[in-house]
Amino acid sequence: MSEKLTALVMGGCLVRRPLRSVPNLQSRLVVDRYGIIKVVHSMAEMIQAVEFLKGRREIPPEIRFLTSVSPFLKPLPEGDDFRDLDLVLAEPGSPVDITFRGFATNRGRISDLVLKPIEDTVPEARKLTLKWVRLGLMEMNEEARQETSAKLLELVPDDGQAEFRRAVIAETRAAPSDVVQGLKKLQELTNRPIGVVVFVFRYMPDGRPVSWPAGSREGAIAAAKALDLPYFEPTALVQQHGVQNALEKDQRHYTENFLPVIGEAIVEFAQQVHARAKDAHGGFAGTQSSPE
Amino acid sequence: MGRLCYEIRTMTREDIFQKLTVLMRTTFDDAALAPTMRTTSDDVAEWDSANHVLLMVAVEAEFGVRFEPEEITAPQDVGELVDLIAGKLG
Repeated sequence: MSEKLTALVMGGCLVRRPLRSVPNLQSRLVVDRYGIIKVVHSMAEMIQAVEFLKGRREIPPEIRFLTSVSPFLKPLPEGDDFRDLDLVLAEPGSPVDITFRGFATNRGRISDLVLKPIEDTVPEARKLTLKWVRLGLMEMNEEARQETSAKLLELVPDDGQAEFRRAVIAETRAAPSDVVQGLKKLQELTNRPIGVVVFVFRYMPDGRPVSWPAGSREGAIAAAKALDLPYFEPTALVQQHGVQNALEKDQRHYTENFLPVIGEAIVEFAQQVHARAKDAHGGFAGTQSSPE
Repeated sequence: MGRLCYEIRTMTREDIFQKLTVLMRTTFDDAALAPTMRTTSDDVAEWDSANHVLLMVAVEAEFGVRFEPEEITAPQDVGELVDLIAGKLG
């Protein structure tokens, strides 16, 4: 019987869902010990969430809705400093850090709260919102961001949230995410071993992983290697079980049947991350990777 | 089969573009789609990440090529995709 571990899990649905929805896994890996951190894509979001939990950073309530720090999350009691935490699982899923008024925001939440209401009112705006996110933010094309922002500002529906939505469209910016520096900072802040879970955007029908934007998956692996951090790459497991069995029709999200398989593998990875750190007498884990 | 392979291998950039246009029209369900070499996914409403994967699968089947994982999302526009295919055929 292996020891029950506590992990701070920061990433998207490919790491959160298996660990939180498969029964029995929580008896070996506690993932919500500090409250529920919402979906996280960028390194800046991860660092912001940890700084918030440590009480080093305040986030105004109206901005929290755009971040991974929900209005219900509370800082740790003073002096706690992640006392019960065994490890961190980080899934870097964005090549850019997106910020609004200095706070790391989540592109999914911006889409839901700011862009979707525009699309609901003006369906033709979909092309503009896609361009603003894809080109203006994710690819940091400043010309496209300015052009689409100007047009979107005129389409914001006049309701109680209009002023806030206009501010988000006008003031949100993106900058390159430095995954190596981000992981280092995460180590410093938590003082715990970190395991990197590699984010795979989609798969080809034969199981080849697809990065988006190009190189982001490879960048995460390179960052883990550069810092000698263990990483978990799900591709081999997906290929072994077949894309049709492992993934939904979108070739992106895991099927209900595959969740226990991938969940078990992530828990085992977490145990390895922790064991290696222990073996290193309190240092951080050595290199360990899944076969590609 | 040998002749088909020869024809594919001797395709010009323009030939590839013409075939690619047909594949894009089918994949994006838009018979009127008239891409240029500079067309990007942002210019085509249906060219999202899911349809991009379908397009690449269709390209592999049509041209008999295979992309490395890092090549699948690398092309920034139609011209770069044509170049990628031409590089594989060459």
